[in-house]
Amino acid sequence: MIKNYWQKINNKYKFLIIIIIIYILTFILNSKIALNSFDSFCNLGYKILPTLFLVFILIFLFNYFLDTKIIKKYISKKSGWKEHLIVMLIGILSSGPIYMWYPLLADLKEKGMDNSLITSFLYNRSIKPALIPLMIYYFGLPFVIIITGLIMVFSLINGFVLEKILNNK
Amino acid sequence: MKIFDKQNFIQAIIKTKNNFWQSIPILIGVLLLIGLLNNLAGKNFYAKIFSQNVLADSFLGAIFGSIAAGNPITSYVVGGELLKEGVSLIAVTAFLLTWVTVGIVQLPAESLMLGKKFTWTRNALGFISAIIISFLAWIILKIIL
Repeated sequence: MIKNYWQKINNKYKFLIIIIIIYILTFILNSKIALNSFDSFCNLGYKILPTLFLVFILIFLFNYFLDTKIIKKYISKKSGWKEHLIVMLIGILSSGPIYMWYPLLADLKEKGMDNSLITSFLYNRSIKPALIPLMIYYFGLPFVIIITGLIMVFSLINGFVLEKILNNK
Repeated sequence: MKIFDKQNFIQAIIKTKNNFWQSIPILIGVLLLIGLLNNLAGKNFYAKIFSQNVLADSFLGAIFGSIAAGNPITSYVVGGELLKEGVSLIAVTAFLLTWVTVGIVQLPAESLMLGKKFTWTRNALGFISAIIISFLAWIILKIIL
C-alpha cells in the first residue's frame, strides 16, 4: 500500500520527503546537528527570499509578454545574421523546461529551420534574465556581464560548428 | 499589441504559479540538504571533492551539471553555495552552464524530436564550450578586477 502511494507522488515531492526523513533520522541520532542544519537552512532561505520574490515577478512578466505564437512568428527559416540575433534574443527570453520547446523546434526544423539556429536558441537558454538578480547576489555583476557575453558568442560558434559537422557527415 | 490582455494575464499567472510550485519543493529540499551537509561534513567538504586542479575541477563541474536536471534557480543556489565553500569559480561556472545546456536526462527526448546526430553533437559542443567559457570568464575576471 505504501509502495503504491509512493509511486503516485511526484518526483519533486519525493526528493523533499527523502530529505525530511534524513532530517528526522539525524534528529533522532544527534539532535544538535539536525537543529543546527535547520538553522542553516533558515538562514540560507531568509537571505535568498527577497531575490526569489523578484525572480518570480520577472518570470511572470516574461510569461505575460512572450508567448509561443510570437516566437514562431519571428523565427524564420534561413539563417542570416538578423535571424541569428532574433533567435538569440528569443532563446534568452524563453522560459520553462527545455523539453517543452522540443515539439516547436522539431516542427520548425521540419519546415526548414537551420540546425545552427536551433543550437543558438537552445544555448542562449542558459541566460535567464529573470534569474539575473539571483546570479548577481551569488556571483556579482561583472561575472554576470562576462558570462552573458561569452554565452552569446559561443551560441553562434556552436551553431556554425554543429552545422559544419552535420553537413560533413 | 494591447498593453493589458486579460487572457494573457491569466495564462501568465497560471504559468508562473506552475513554475513556482515546480521549483519550491526542490529548492527547499536543496537548501535543507546544503544546511545538513554544511553541518555534517564540515566547511571543507566540497573543497575536498574538488581537487583544486582547475582543469580537473572544471571537467568535474561540467559532469555534475550535465547529470543534474531541474530549474536553473536550483543550479544558482547550489553553485553559489559551492563557491562560498571554496570550490573554484571555473568549476562552478562549468557546472552552471552544463546544467542548462547539456541534458543527459533529456537526451532520449531530444534525440527523438530533433534527431540523434544533432542531439549528440549539440550536447558534446555544449559540454566542451562550458569548460572553455568557464576558463575565459575566469581569465577575463582576473584581468579586469
